Amino acid sequence: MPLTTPGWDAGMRAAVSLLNLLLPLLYGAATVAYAVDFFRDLAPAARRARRLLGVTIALHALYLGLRTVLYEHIPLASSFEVLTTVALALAVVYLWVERRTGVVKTGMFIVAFCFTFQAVSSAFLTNPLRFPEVLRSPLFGLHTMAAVLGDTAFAVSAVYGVLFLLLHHELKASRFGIVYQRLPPLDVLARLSLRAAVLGLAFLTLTIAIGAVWAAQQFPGFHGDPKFLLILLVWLVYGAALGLNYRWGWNGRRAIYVSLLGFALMLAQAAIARLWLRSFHGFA
Amino acid sequence: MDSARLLLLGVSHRTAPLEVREALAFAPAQVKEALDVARRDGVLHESLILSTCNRTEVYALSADPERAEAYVRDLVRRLKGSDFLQPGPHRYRHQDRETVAHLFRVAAGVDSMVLGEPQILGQVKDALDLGTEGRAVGPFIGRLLMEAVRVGKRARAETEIGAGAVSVASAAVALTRKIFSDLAGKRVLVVGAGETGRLAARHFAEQRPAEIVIVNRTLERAESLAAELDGRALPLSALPEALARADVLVTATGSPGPLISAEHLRLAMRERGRRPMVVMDIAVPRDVDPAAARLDNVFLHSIDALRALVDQNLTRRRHAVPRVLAIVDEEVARFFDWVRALGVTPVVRALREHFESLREAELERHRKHFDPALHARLDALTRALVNKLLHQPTTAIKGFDRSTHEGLLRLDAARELFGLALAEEPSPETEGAELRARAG
Repeated sequence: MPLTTPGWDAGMRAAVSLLNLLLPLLYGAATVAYAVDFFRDLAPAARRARRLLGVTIALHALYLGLRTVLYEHIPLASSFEVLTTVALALAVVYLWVERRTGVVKTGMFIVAFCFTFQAVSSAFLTNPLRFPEVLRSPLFGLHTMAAVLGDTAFAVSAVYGVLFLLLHHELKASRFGIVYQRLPPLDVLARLSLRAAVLGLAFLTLTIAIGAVWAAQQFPGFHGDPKFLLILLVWLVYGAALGLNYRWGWNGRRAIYVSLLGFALMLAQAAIARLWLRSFHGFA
Repeated sequence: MDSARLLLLGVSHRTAPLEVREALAFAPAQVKEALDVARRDGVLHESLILSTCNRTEVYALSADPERAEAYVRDLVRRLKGSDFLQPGPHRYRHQDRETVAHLFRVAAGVDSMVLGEPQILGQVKDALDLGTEGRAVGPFIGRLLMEAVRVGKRARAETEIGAGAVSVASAAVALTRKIFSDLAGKRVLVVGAGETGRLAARHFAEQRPAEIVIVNRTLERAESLAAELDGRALPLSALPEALARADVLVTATGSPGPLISAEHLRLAMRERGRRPMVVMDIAVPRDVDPAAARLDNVFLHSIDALRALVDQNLTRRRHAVPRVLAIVDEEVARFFDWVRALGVTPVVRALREHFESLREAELERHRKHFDPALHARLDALTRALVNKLLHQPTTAIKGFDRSTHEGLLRLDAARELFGLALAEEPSPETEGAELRARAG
């Protein structure tokens, strides 16, 4: 039974198109606002940036809500739908981290990711003509939701990891430029990066577990699927980074390097699986 | 008291040598005594003394600034034995607007010896407390001081006037806290109990580390410093073991060559599971082999690095001065808005305008429900009602004696009570006259 009337449909389509265009611009503006705060260190600039990001998040949530109603599925059925959802999750997680830790000077780096993800999604996202029946399973919904949350946590971990390395480099060289002045202390960056990696690993474990249960019903030969194997490799690398950190006291730079290797593999597997390998994940 | 002027007489590090500043400095008990004498003598309506190691300033509110000046000089002569505030190169004298602007600049830190230092805000608050306790400070100077504190905070929040650390010891702490956000669980090891080492140890002790250990060639000196800081003293021979336990190492000995080799630190790092270690080598010649900087998780900084950090912070502070001065100008104008609004006529006018605008807005909102004839009757009725309601407050306000502190307080309270907007911005040339007319 249709959820909407034709009039509503047209209105929602127009709103979705408008928001699709507007969201990259808003994320771009929020990135610039956070950049102003980073480079000029002015409290009013930080407040403006936070407000702008809040409005952008609200509109983004509306956009995804409208898409869900209009196309009758949660927007996780294609790579570009996943990308816009990750952008929103990243923005929400960043605002939460900002409020929780009081660390306000890293917004530019995280929101730039939101901008990139949303810009790519807005440019390439098409309106689906049909939605594969196989993907209507609740397990698939849980699987993709866990994957989105895991990707988001890994992206946050990677950003804070890179910032850690930047500051570490400046401190080792006794250089006290803008990176030194603006970034939070080294141990805070390490903590944020590693905690986000722990969260990411937990969600990745969940993603793999739910995916395995679901795929066992739909795709019995999934064990040999290249994307599945690559994801297992990512899981092992992150597991190793966190194990080295917690069990063997590999603190600081080396643990962050391994964690960043995990993120690089994560991005690489997505591209490899999509472009070169034949995988049952091809629907995405 | 038909008119009052705000007068400031003072000396500071900009105008007077240390000997003069020392001789004129007032301890808190002396401030109390001086203000008590001034209050009893009754020449000044209000008075306040701001005395720090870099300045002594006397603020006075009086109907006759010449008489006030003579009185303040005489008071200082009586209490300090010499006419330190006589006209001359060491003394400065400001009146009205310039006094307000000067105090705001002082509170914002742009007049301090170390640009932007934060202690001045506490000293301004202390001066206000002493003045209030002795009832020498009334509503006018009280408000002025509270505004000065607010301006000081605003300048520090909106500009880089207080950016970073500006002494080597505080820069060492700031830099350490860029690696360990909290020193509460950390162990600090200070090698060298000379003047530099003592200063650095005191700065680190303020961060309340888990433990502070002092190592020195002469154990007695280490013990004396450790006792002062509630720490532990060790002889130099115990250094290798102490190194392995330390999260922060500060070296400040007079050793002619490196006391701690890269190998010492490599072994210490191995023993401590390669957890990060901050090394602040503030000795000249250096105490730590520079090759140790290459060790993983060792953050070694020399005195040159700390000085570079201090210079950079001072530059940031200097760049903030124009913006701070703009804030001061803005706040001086705002202060005079308050002064101007304290007159009886402006308060009564603002009160009537406030009620009239409310009455008109309500009538307008309901205009559509009444025909023109009824609306006209309502207009007359509400006007009469407002006039009756305002009759008593207006009479009371007109009775406030603005020449007394109590009168000023009541005028200010009336303004606050009814949420009356400030009057339009005054022109600079009228401010002196307004100060005379309103604050008097």
